[in-house]
Amino acid sequence: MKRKVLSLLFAGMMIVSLAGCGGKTEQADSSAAKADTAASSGETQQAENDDAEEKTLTVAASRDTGELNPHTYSSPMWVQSLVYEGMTRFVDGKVVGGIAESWDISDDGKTYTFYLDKDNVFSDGTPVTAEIVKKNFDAVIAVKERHDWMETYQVLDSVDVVDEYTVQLNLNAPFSGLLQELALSRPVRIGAEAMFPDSGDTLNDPIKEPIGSGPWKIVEHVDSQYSIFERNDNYHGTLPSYKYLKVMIIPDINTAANALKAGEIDMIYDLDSQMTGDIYNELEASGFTASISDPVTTNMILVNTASGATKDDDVRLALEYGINKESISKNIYGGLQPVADYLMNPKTPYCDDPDIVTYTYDPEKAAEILDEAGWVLADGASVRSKDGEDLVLRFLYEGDNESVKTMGQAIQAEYAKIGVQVDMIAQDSTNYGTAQKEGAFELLQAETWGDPFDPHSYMSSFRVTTHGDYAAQLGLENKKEIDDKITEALNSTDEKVVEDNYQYVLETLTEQAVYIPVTYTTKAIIYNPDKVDQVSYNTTLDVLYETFTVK
Amino acid sequence: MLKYAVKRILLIIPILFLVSVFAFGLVRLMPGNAEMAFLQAAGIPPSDEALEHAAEELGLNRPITEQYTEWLGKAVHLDFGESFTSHKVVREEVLGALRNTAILAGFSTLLILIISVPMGVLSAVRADKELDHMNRILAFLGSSMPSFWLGPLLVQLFCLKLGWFPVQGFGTLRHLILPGFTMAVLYIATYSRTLRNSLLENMNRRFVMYSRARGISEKKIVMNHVLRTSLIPAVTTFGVNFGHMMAGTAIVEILFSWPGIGRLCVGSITSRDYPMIQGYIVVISVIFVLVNLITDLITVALDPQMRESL
Repeated sequence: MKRKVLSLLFAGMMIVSLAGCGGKTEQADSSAAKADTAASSGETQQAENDDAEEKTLTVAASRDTGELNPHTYSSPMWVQSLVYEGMTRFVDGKVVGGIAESWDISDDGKTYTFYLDKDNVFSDGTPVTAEIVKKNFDAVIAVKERHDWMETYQVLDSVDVVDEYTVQLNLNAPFSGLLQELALSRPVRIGAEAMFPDSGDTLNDPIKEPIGSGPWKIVEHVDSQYSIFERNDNYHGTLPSYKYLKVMIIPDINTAANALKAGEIDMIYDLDSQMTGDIYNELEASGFTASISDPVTTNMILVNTASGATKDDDVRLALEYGINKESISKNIYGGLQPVADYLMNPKTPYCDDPDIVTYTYDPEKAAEILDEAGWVLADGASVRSKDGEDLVLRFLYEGDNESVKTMGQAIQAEYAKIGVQVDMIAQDSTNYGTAQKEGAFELLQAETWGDPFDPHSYMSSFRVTTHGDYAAQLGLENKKEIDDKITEALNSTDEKVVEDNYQYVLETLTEQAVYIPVTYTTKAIIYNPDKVDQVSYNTTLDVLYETFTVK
Repeated sequence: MLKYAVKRILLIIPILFLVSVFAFGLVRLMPGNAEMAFLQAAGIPPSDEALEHAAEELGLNRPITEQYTEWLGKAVHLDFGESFTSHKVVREEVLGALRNTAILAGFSTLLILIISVPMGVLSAVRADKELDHMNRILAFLGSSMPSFWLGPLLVQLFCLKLGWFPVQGFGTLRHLILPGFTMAVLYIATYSRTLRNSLLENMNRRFVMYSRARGISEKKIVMNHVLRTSLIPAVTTFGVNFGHMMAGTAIVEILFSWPGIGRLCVGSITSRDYPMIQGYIVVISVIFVLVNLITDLITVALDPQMRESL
């Protein structure tokens, strides 16, 4: 009996693990067969090199590519951009044509007429017509309250078909950022008829097939492991020069770096900003080509004008002078993030303002300002005080971001030198959002949203009561004027008005020291020079993989 | 024995009911809320309206008892709902990931058996000799090395320097070896020592003396009699540890990009994906309960004294 039980136990374990291995190998074999041409390493790659057309670029991504529904938020934005086109596209800081070749805007700014490319077809060969564009918009407009955080879906009323290749968007109010927001990878990217569920309800029902007119089509997806995209030969833009884009799902950046070294992937395009200066420099030293993009967002400290000691204008001003950005950029970000002088980097549309003030590191001046404002250091004290109130500030940040934590500690040390005590409060991303909404901070680490959200969508959020920016600006005397200027800019069709208003807002916020821009975030691209020839940068939401070339 | 087994199996029902209450309640007691996490994952700024829409979409705006009864009603039919973030069916996601973790844990178990049993037996037979000392040092090292440190070291040596195994991924035996070994090391260290001590203890018992007196060879005594008796504590600990192994794979899975349950769970916790976390807790609890049950039954079957006491 005993012997039987024991042998059964052992046999059972062996079977479980062998069956597991066997099953897996089989699956791997079959997927390997399918992905044969797409596999990145070893013999397969060499065979591929014989045929330039069949080449594969293998990249790492930290998140799964998801269900690829063009009207929801479950897939990463850059993945949606591979498969689906929007009405417009945001390339190099400018709005260019997407599925629409050109457009007209009515004088009152409330009617946008889009002209489609008559030869454009989806990857399944069906034509891109005004009807199908309308169907996509209608599916989103039907649930537009889900998307009304974007100005576009507050003003967009309806879509009409003018003729087979012309559509018209009807707005209830003009919105200057419309073309820029339409370039976003959601909620409206255009999918083919074959994509729609029978109910037509893309929000609640799963899509049938992810068919779009973008440069790529998905041919294989293994959940949490990898996805293979094949060039869409029907694409009406620049055709990719290689045939497959294989996306390996690797959640940890260290693992991705090792996979690059081992030749399992060709490139890391660090869209989720996981790259550290150490890994970057090590990979560069190991012979990989490493580069960083132009500024993407601004990594900044939001100073609360409505809470604690930072209600005092002079305290905020002193904080601007007390921060050593050079050192943070060099020592904490390993040079990956250059020093930021402006809240909106001057390349952002409408934000190149020569009159905006900048602050340079000057701790003595900071101390002077505090002294003059009555925040004095008592004998033997390390923290300044005024009228019995100590100069103690809460610094709220996302605890799972190591670099931000280190930056916070550097700022803590710098401010301690001028007699300001900083208490670090780490929150996980969810609580960080809640605390930010409640304004429970004096200093908050935050980022701008990056293009194409900047400046329209980001500055629009200054007016939204639940946002950290709103909470922080509440103590300003001209808060109402700021909000009105933004509203006016958003609803204007006059470029000059848009520019003037945004610049007014940025100038006043800078003069009143509400934001301390620290560094500009960038995206690192590191690749194997033996495999990849040329890469380019665009927004984080739309990576121009079709323009990359591989060897 | 049969009565004991039936009693133990019936006990599973109230245990799982309690688990369901805790699973449901605890995820909602976590700081932070699911609506906020949902919006963050989607890249939507959390305005009051957006939070309201999210609560409505996720079904979180209804009374908690109503949410619980609906969930429980479905859960007894093994329907744990849809993930908040990926919209995938939780049961499929959890079972798929669980299968991958079971492969990893099963392979680790195999390594543990293959390595720790001979190590334990040899150490016992050659107690306090050189081999035992060496095993002791290895066991000491193995039990003190955390997987988040050992894993990268193994990757450096076997993947990057020697190129024997892939750094990450899933699908073949080559993908399995390093993560499997990383997980197994701690257990090998523990079991080989437990087994050695238990063997030594039993070697001094009277049945061994009688066996020797009967002229049975030392090898037969160890392999046929002492080893079997000594396995009892190891099987009991293993029962508890297998559950831990299934539930504690997160670090190894993230390190080696293994698409298993640990990685799924950590991701779900970050995104406050309630249905996924609940499904995970229930499934892992079922595994714990079942493994404990099986272990107890085996122990009873192996141990005549316990069997008689029932």
